[in-house]
Amino acid sequence: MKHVIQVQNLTKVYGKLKAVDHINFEVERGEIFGFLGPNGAGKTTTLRMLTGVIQSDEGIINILGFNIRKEPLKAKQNIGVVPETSNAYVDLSAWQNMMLMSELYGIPKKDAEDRSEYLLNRLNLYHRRDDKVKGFSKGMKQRLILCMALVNDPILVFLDEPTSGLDVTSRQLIREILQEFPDQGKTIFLTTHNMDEANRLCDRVAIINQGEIAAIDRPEKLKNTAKKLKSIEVSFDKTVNNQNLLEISYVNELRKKGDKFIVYTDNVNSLIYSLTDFAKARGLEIVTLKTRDPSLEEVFIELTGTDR
Amino acid sequence: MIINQFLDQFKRSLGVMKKDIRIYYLKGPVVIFGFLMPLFLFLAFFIGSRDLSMDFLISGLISMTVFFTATAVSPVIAPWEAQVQTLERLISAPISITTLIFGDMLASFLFGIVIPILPIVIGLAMGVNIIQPIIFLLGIFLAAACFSSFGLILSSPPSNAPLQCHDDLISGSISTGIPQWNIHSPGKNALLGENNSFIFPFNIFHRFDKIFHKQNQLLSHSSRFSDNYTFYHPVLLFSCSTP
Repeated sequence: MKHVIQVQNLTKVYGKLKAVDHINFEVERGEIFGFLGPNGAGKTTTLRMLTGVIQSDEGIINILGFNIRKEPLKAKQNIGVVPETSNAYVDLSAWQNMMLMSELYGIPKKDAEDRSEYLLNRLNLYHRRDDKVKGFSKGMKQRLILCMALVNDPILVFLDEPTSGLDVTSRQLIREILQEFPDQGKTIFLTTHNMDEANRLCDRVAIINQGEIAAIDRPEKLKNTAKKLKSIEVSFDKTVNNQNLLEISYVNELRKKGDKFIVYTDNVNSLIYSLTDFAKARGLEIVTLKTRDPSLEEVFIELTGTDR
Repeated sequence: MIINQFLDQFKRSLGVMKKDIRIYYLKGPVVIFGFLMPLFLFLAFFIGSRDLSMDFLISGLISMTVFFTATAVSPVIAPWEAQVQTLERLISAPISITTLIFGDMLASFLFGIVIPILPIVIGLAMGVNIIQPIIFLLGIFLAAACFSSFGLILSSPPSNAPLQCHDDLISGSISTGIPQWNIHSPGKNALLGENNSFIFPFNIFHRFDKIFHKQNQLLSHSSRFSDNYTFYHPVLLFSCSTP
């Protein structure tokens, strides 16, 4: 089974609003797949359909080879879900929450205990296992929810905004754990609107906007497609007149940022040559020269046409 | 194969039951409302009309206790879980809706048969004889099962509006004695509004749609619920599963 998620013509309509409009995509095994989009783009709706929480109006979803509508229990048995909001049972202890999840997944008690102990230790919650979740901080709750989602050792993990609103330590810990997954043959489907996170974690990203997929590709490739956003950051040892710099070839746009210049171009290679020629001709020393790729955020804004 | 699957789901429903008992039932107020209220009603009858025989009063006390305990919490489980978004976690687990509802019902059922032990003991202490113990037990079991299902019916009218839902929770908290408004926070109702379909699995009862539709209209005196939502009927579920 190459594709752990196969989605064809997936559609969800709420009244007149097409929340998700005939989308198609596939996720391969061992991949970290990012699902990006502005608020209300249909990310969570898609994720809820994929995890069988809501039913699609049209289209086919195959999760781990099982149709989520026809064989929901088989499809759900080997997946883990981290929903958007904290929703562990606050009146139960961390340990009781873990045991509840293992009962729902039909995991034998001994295995469940071993696995829970390992996960709670790994996510730094074991010392608080007998405390009610009520008293947990947001970061701790989110880590517990991740533990709960992993109790069945899932092949495929769905995460909805797993690190939003968390402190640096929790975020780092969660990211570290997620990054280990592909080595273990696990697949991650991640929705986020944090570009930085998607850029750091994802093998591939899909950008969804108004219920339609605007682009699916590897983050670096997506950045490449937005060529006009390419730029070079350069600084010289002496002050340089903006006008002089603008006159050299291959410069589309110039921005001064402190003692540095951000030079936008279509042709990075030729611009570097012309910049070195420029420096040589004027007896300037180049202090720094960096090629700047467009950030995923810039690509995202260009593709979705929104300035968040 | 099918039996294994059935047993497997049954075991998982026990997980749901345990959770319900831990969260919703093991609270003083449920025991107090389930037992003390019927006891006071009993005393009221006892003092008010001395002509009634002890046999009659005790059987009344037992049936009231079964009713109040079995219906104490079940009406609020689904709306509450939808509100605090724990329902989403349950639904994304590999359990069917039937398993989930059955688990909720089992928890109510268990309380419905355990708490009445108190009035039974009182009755025995007051010298009431149980003539047919087996039929008596069967009666309690059946009543507890029906009343817990009835409690679940009360949780079925979906409320889209947060206020409606809030009202439900408050009225729920009045009936159960558990303060439920403390978990209410604005903006958390999206799930309930959006995903009625998984709380109210009308697909299971598709064939009863027309009956429910009529019933909904009668019950709500408006078409507010009738177009989009259908009541589900755990009693039907129960009676269908009983040979």
